[in-house]
Amino acid sequence: MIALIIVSHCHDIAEGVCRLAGEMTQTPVPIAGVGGIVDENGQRQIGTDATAVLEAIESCWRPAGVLILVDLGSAILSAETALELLPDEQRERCLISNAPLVEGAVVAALEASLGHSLEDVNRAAEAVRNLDKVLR
Amino acid sequence: MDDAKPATITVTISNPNGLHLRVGKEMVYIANRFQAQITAENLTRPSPVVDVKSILQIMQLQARTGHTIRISADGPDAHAALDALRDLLAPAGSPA
Repeated sequence: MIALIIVSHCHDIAEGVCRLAGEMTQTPVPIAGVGGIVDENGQRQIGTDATAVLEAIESCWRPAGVLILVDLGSAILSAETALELLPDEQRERCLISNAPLVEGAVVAALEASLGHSLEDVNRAAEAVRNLDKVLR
Repeated sequence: MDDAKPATITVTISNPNGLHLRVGKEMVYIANRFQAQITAENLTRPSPVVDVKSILQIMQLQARTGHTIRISADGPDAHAALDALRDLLAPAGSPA
């Protein structure tokens, strides 16, 4: 079983995507959300934090791998930084997905719950990119 | 019954929310219990023929309440797979 990490600029988006993805599982899949930053006054702000991504990967770590789904921009940079901070043997089993965040997480959670490999789960999640939302 | 032959059922979606994400999810988990290749098509609105083992593809059916779905299965356990999907989508006693 692989784990999923959801990285968004917004805490509520990360938490919400985790909840939605969690609905898709049949067997429990480790899913952690990382969103937003906390400023010097302890207030949540929009942003991403590589250290928080790293902590999420470490807390959810599974030998089968960790798929990281990101929203955009610095979420990807933070995920990359987090991976650089991991030991080589863990980094090799982590993958940043090209899937869109919401649809990708829904598909990935279900596929992970079926026990599919990191590569297969990511392939299914990334396939979302080729589908139209509305049939015309 | 010869399970080796392809089999087909049609079901009408009775759920007031249509074929929504959670029902789609249940379809995928049921389909994955079987070896048979299982496909579906929305007969009410133009849809692709989709793989029932993929949640992404099931969502492509965009099936609303009252839409009729044709589900086909091909493989050694095709009939059992269709029975299980019919039990989910149109359980005995529900409106046709």
